[in-house]
Amino acid sequence: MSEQVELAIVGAGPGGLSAALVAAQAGVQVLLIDHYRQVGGQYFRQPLSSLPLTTAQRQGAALRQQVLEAGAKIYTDTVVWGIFQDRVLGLYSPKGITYVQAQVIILATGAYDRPIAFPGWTLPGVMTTGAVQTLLKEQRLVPGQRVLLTGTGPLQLVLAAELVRAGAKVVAVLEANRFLGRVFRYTDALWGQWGRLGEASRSWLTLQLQRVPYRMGWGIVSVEGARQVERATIAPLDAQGHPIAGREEKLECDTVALGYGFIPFNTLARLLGVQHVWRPELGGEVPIRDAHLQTTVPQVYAVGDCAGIGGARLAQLEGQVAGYATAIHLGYRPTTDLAALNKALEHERRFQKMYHALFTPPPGVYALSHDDTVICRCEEITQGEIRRAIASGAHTTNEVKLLTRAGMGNCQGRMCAHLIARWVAHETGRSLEQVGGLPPRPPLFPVPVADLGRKV
Amino acid sequence: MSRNLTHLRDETITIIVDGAPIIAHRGETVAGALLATGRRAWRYTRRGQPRGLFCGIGVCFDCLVTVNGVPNVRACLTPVAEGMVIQTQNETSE
Amino acid sequence: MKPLRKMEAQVVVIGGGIVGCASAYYLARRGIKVILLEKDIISGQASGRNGGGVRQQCRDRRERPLAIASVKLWEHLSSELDVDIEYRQGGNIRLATNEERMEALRREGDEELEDGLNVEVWNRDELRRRAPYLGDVFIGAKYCATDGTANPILTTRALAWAAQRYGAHIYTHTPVHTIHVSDGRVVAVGAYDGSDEIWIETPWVINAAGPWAPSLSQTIGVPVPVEPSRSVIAITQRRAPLFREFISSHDLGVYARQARAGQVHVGGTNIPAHTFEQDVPAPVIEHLARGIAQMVPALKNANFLRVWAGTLEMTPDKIPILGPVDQVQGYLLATGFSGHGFCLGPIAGKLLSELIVDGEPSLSLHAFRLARFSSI
Repeated sequence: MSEQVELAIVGAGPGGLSAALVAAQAGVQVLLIDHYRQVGGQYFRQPLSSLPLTTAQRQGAALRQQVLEAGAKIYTDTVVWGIFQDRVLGLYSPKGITYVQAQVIILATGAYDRPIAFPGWTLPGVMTTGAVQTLLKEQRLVPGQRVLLTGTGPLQLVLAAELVRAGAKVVAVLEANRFLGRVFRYTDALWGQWGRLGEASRSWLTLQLQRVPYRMGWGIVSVEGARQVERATIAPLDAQGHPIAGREEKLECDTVALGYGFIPFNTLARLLGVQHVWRPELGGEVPIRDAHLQTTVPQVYAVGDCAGIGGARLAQLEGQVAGYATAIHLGYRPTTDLAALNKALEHERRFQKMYHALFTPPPGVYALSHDDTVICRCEEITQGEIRRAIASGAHTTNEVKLLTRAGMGNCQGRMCAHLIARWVAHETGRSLEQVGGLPPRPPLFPVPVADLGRKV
Repeated sequence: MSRNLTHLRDETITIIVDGAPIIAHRGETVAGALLATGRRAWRYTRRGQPRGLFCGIGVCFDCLVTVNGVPNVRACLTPVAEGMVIQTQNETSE
Repeated sequence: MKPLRKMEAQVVVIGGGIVGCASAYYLARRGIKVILLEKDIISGQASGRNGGGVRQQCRDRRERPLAIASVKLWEHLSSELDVDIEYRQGGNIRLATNEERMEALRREGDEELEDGLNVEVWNRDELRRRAPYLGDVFIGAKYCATDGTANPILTTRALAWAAQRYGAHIYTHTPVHTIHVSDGRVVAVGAYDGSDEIWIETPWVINAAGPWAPSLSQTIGVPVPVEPSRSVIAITQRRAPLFREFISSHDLGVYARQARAGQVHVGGTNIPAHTFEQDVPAPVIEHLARGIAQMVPALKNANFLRVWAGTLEMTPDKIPILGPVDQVQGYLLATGFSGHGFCLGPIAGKLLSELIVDGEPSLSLHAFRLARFSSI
C-alpha cells in the first residue's frame, strides 16, 4: 500500500526547496523528501542545535518556512532507497520502510565532493572541503589545528577564510589552476555576480591579513604520517597540472582538505533509466533534459547539481522552472514569470560556463597516485591491481569492478568509479563514455534487513 | 582541536567511547564529538588501516562506528545522544 | 555492405558463461582450434550473478553423477587454471522447518548414499551443535561436507583465460546472428563484431547461450524448450565471519552464503518470474530480508547493500539439455541448467569436449538429450 502524491521531490537543498515552493504555491500536492535530519542540502546546511544562524542558514530556514506555509509536506531523515514500477519510491526513515507513488518526480539530489587519490590520501586527517564545511556549518567545529587546503576554485578560498575566522591555523591554500590571467575573458559572466565577487574578495582579504599563503598553480603531491596526517608534500604544477619534479616542499599539517569540484549524485536518475551523457565540464554524467528540465523519462525532472554542477543559485532557478512545468503538467496555473526566470537562468549559466572553464581540475591531478596507492577505499584495492585487471582484458569500469572488487564495497563506487574510469580510458585509449560507470542497483543506501522484513 | 563559539555550545551530554566517558554537546554528530577530543581515527579496515572522517556527508562510509551494538553506523550522520555507547569498529582480518 | 572477415575453427562456442568457457578450455587443452563468441562480456549474466554454490546434494538423480564428477574437477581447478577462484568446501546445509520436509530429506539422503554421495542427516540437536548460528525455526537438516562455494566471476574468467593460453580465440561484444546449416550439417557461424561481419567455417557449434539459446536455435529448426526466469540476490554489508556453509531452506524460500569478503549473499529459492526483465520488485527484496532474518538471527541488524537480478533458463523437467540433436549434425546444446548450473559448468564443458574429440563423453548424456521432449 503506497502513499499517493502528485509531486515527489527528492532532495531538499536549494533546488528542491525552490521547486517545492513554486509547485505548492500553484496548488500542487507536494512531498519533499530529504536524506538528512534537516532540509537545506549542503548550501543551506542548518546547525543541529540552537547555534546562531549565518545569513545563508537564515535564508534556508526562511525558504523552508515558506514551503511549509504553501502546504507542502516535508519528510526529513528519509532515504529514497529504490524506485519501482509506476514511479513508486521506496523510502526508509525512523518510521521504517514505506512507499510513495508520485505522478511526477523532481530529482534534486545534489552532488558530492570529487575525491582525488594520491599517496597518503586514506590517512585520517585527509578529508573533503565538504566535510570541513559540514563541521563548520552544522556544529561550529574545526577539524584540526593546522589545515592545508588543496584543490581548485573560489570555494576553498571562502572556506579558508571561514576556518581562519573560526580560529584554525590555515597553513596554505593551493589553487591548481592559474586562473587570474584567464578570468578577464569572462567579464560578461561576472557582471552582476557582485555577491560572489564580494565574498571572494572579503575572503582573500582575510587570508592576506592572517598571512595565509595562497599559492596559484600549486597542488598536493602526497601526505605522510604514521597513523594520521603529519605533513604534506606540495609542489608547483606544470601546464597539465603535474607536479614539477625537484620543486617539492614539505608542510607540517594535521588536516588536508580536498576541494577538486563535485560529482553529480545521479544514482537515482540512472536507476530510473534516465539517459545521461558524459559532460566532464559539468562534473561527469548528466541527464539529457528538455527546455523544462524534464529528463528522457516522462514525468521525471532533474534540477540543480545532480544535473550538472552549477551551484546553489542555478539550482534555485532550475527548481523554479521544474516546479512551474510540473504544476502546468498537473493542470494547475502557477504565477511564475517564466521569461524573467529564463533570463536569470541564462545569466547564471554563463557564470556556470566560466566557472568550469577556469576551475576544472587539470589532468595532472589524476596522475598523483602510485601503483601501491589504494584507489577503492572501501575494499582497499590498489592502483596496481586495477591496472593488472585492465591488462587482463577489463575494458570497462564495470569489468574492473567484477575482477578486482573495486566498487563493491559500502560506498558502491561513489568514491572510486571515476578514478577507475580514468585509468581504463588511459590504458585502453577508449573514451570515458565507452568506458562507462558502474550500474546502479537498489538500495541506493544500505537499508536494514529488519525494516525491509517488516510491514508498516 | 579547537572549537569556536564555545560559549554558545548547547548542553553537555555524556557518551561512552570504547568504554570511557566523553563530554559532548547536543547538536554534535558522533564524528564531530570524536574529532573534538583530538581523535582522528575510530575504525580499522580489513588491512588494519586507520580511518576517520573523509567526505563528512554520509557518502564514503569511511567513518563507520558501532553504536549501541549496531555496526556500520556512519558517525558523520549520527547526532550524539545521552548515554550513547560508541565502539571503534575493528574489521582487521589480514 | 559490412566488411567481412572469414575465419576457420574446429569448434565455435556460443556464449561466454561458465559452460561456454569451460567447453572452450577443455577443447583447447586437447589441441582443438576453438573460437568462442559472446554477445556482451564474459561472465556477464548468470555466471557472474549467481550465489556461487557448488553443490552435489539435493539434485535430480540424473544430474547426480555429473555433479559428483564435476566436484572432482573443482577440487583442482584453482591450481590448474593458476587463479585463486576462491573454491572451498565449506559444506552445504539443506534445512527443514517441518516433518514432511525432514522425511523428504531422509529419503533423498538414502538415495544419495546409494549413489556414492556422502551426506549426513541432522536432527534438531545435531543441527544446533553443528550450525549454532541458525534460527530456531529449523528442526533438522541434510548436510554434505564436500559441497562448497566459489567466486563465479573469477571462475568463469579463469576458464576463459586458460582457454586463451591454450590457443582459443574469444570475441566479446560479438553477437551471433546465423548458424549456417547445409545438408543437415553445421558448416559456419555468422556474427557481428562491432562494424565488421565475421564468418567462421566450422563443423561443430556448441550453443551455450543460456536463456538466449532458444531464439538462435529456432533459426536452424531446432526448438529448445527453455523459459527465462528472473532470480534475485541481495548482499549485506561486510560482516565478521559467521558461517562457512551454503545454507538453504525451501520452506522459508531463501538461501544464503557468506563470501570471503564477508558480505552475506541472500537468494530466493522459489519465486518464479518468467521474464528476461532484470529489475527487482520491492516485494522480492522484502521477502529476502524476512528470510535471512529468520534463517540467521545474528543478521537481524544487517543492512542490504545491493540487490541484483539474473536470468535463469528453465526446462520443463528442471534438468539441462546437454549433447547432440537429431535434426542437425555437429550442433550441440548446452543449456537449460535451470538455476543450478554453476557446479555443473566444468563437467559439462569436459563432457562436450570428449564427445567432440573422442566421439563419446565419459559419462552418459542420454538423460539430457533434447529428444526427451518428444512433444516438440
